[in-house]
Amino acid sequence: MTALENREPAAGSAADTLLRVDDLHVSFKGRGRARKVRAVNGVSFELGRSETVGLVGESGSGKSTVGRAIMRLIPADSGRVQLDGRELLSLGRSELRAARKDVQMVFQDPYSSMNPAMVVADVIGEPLDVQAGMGRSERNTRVAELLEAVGLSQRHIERYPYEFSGGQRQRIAIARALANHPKVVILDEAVSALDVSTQNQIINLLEDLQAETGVSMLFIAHDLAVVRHIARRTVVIYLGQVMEVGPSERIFEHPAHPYAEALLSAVPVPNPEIQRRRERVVLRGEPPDPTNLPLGCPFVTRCRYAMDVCADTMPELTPVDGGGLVACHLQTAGPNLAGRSLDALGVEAEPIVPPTR
Amino acid sequence: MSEPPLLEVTDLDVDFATDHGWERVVNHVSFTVDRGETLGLVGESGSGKSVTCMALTALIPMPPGRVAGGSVRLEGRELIGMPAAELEQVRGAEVANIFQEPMTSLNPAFTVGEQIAEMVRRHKGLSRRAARGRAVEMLDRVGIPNASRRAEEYPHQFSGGMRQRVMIAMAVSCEPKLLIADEPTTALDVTIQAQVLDLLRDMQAELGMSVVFITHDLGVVAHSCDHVVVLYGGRVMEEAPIDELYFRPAHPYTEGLLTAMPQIGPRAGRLASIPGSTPVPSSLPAGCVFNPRCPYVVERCREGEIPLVEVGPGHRSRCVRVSELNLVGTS
Amino acid sequence: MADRADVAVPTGPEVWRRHAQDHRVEQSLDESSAPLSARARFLRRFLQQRPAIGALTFLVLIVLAALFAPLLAPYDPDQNDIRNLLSGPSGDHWLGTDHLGRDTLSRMLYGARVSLLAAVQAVSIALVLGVVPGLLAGFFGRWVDVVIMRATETIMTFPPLLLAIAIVAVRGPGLFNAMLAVGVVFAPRFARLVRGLVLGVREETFIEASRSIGTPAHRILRRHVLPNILSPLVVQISLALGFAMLAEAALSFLGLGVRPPEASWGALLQVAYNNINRNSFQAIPPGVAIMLCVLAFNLLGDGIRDSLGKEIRRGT
Repeated sequence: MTALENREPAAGSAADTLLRVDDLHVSFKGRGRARKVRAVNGVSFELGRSETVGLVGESGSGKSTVGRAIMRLIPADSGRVQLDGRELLSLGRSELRAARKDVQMVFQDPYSSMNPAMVVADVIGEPLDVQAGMGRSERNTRVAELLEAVGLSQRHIERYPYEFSGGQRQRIAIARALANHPKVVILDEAVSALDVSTQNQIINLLEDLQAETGVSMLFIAHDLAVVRHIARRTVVIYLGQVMEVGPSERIFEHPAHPYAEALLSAVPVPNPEIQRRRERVVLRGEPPDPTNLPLGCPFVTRCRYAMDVCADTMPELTPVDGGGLVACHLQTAGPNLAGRSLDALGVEAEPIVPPTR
Repeated sequence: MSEPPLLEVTDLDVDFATDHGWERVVNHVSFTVDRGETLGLVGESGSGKSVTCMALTALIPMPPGRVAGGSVRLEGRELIGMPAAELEQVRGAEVANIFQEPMTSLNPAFTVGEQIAEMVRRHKGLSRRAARGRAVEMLDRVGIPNASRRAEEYPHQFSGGMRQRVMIAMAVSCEPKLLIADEPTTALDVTIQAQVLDLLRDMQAELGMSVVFITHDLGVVAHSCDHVVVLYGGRVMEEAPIDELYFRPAHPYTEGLLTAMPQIGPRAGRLASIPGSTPVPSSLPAGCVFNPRCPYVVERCREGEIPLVEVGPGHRSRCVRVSELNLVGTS
Repeated sequence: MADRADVAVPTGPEVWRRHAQDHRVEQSLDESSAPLSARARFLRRFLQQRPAIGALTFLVLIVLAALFAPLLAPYDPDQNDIRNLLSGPSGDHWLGTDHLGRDTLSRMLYGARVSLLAAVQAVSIALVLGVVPGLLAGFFGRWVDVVIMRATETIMTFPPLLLAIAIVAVRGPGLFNAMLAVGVVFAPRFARLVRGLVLGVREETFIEASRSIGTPAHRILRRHVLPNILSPLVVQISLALGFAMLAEAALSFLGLGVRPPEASWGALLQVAYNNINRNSFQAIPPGVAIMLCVLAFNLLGDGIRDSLGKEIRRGT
């Protein structure tokens, strides 16, 4: 992941970069013995102005940790996070407080993300109190405006969070995130806890708000279908490493990484006929112990195309036909799969013997 | 036709106590489960699906809950009001449960082997040694590697997916006739979900048991179920064989759900959605409970209790306009 | 399906898309009931708790009796009636007299002032000494937590009574010193309670959400942490008031509390105990009063706890 700058913009980066995450590393102290869990292991991606990027992965992939590290809610070990060219990771305490205005977050659980003892006016108004220092009436005018913007009535300004449904609370959380006109909103599984019927309302709302305000969104989710819809570009991560990044259309139609392929294949299709017909790639096993990752590609233990080289060498992110980058030896050492589905290889594909280098 | 269905739920009513008195959360729910069949109980939050499923094995906490009416018959035997001791025998041996979060139903103080063995000893009267062997065999059958070693481990030493496998092993260890699975894969990652769904289907085929599958995910339903009951606001809105439901839905709510179901495919502009929120039991609208969110609402929908009408073989719908609407299913 | 007529009602995704467009403002909040504040809901539930209401009424009566003791008391509490020493209940002395011929009812009324005030003092001291350290320890963790918790543990290793005696021995006897001792004994308990509550709240997402906005720590403590631990704290305060009354009684009984001739319920009990062979009735009024007050504080605490809706603790 060196020299991200040297790559042509087509290679999975944004045209007009607003947020740039470069070689981000985050680790936690493991339980018991002081083994380090490397949650994020050299993640790089870019987010353009008014763009939505999806960050997909399963639990333990480090996708939420990336979001929290960008927000500096947890410390990063190394790497760079630049917003409009300004480094966020090295900001001092008071600079950071001011910078937080520009990057906001919407959390997964609409129930625990709001103080139950506060009314909506105070929930949404808090960033205005803290950052903008508005007077009470001015603040409440802005809160009312925000409520209308997210599809709630300003009559609800004195209500308590518990009176709202999950979807309505998530609207309140979005209003809170947008209160100070941030440049980036990080949505951490923001629709995962919602009912199907409400989920789409929130997605539509987010798209409307983006069209109105031009805010950039980092959409962190495990639900691939939702990401497919909302994100123009997608980053697929597994065990803290980027497996594939590129235009959503290309990744979802022609995944270049075996993990992306398996992930897509595992999503149940709401159509009984297709379910009966289709051959799915069911991944064997579970992700390896995060305190004891394989030397090479983290996916090697579950990959059906695993080669010898995969076990000890982590593949570089390499450009794929159709746009984007993929970190897989099949791209460099094996047959070039770019532009066609891995299914073309057939389920019975034998491990490919790597050419000697 | 003399033999009764495996499970027959008739006009089940369940109430919960609130500040304002009793609130009905399950309202006249009826369905049957045949032998070897998988029934999907589909609904969003507040639909009453989980309460219905708890009522099936009299697991409703009382108070604050109560079964206010109706009957649940397992092979003709009434489970509602069955003495606790008898019920203990039915649970586990004939009807087994698996839940969304296996950690809450496994005892953290015992090894998983001990817990499965205990279950088998209680219901099958096996010796200690035989029960222990059975536990290892079950763990192996659900695909846990190194079963005999892992039987000695405690629940917290298993990952989420493995824990759900342990739950399944425990649930099927006594070869129950009916397995009640309440959102068993909701907390799992998709790749693990796929494994667990396949496992459940294999175990069902192997043991010939029936399954009641409670879920909100129409994708999971399409994968696993033969017959579907759609719940909304504590009522059955539609009941149909799987293909009927997806391709010829007979209730606007079902159509809405199918339309709103996110799909991986080419981006199709704005997402369709069902406006409004799922209702809470305290403020259900008059008439059809779905009417405030329904695009096809007419005056008739707002008054009286809407009956569940037969629209085809095994296909029922609670919509007054069902004969006028040509609803669109999955394409 | 034969009865499904082909009336041309448009159906399908387009209908839903348009339908959703037309209903963009969410209005399905239950508008029928006026919005109830958390406080109003608490009150409504509390009013249904009979034992707690009874306890509260009793305590209010005791407080009123104490406040208006000069008006209610039939005699001066220190006035001796030489003709009636250690008498039982009579028309002149409803609750009898003590060994110096002082009217027990009057002394009970005046004693209530001392006993209640003492309890309030002790609990206030405990709160001042306990809540702030508990908040800091729970919220900041790490070395702050270690230092504060070791300090509280050190205090807790002393037997409470011994600690009280030591404090009184150093500072001299007297009610305030006795209550200071009780307060010091209670403070670590409050500190630990508050710390535990804060640890629970600290992990809530709304704290993280507030941090992500750029809210300074002191504001998070004041706006987010404190309000969410207040309710269980109030329950504990109510229970502690009962204990403090008991402690006052015990210390006064041992002669470490109020100094004669001042009356407190504990002091009354001590006097009665000394003369119990000659008149056993004298122990009953202060004994019963102490018991009832402690019971009332406990019932009140339980009532408050049960009236705190789930929505205050978490979600719905």
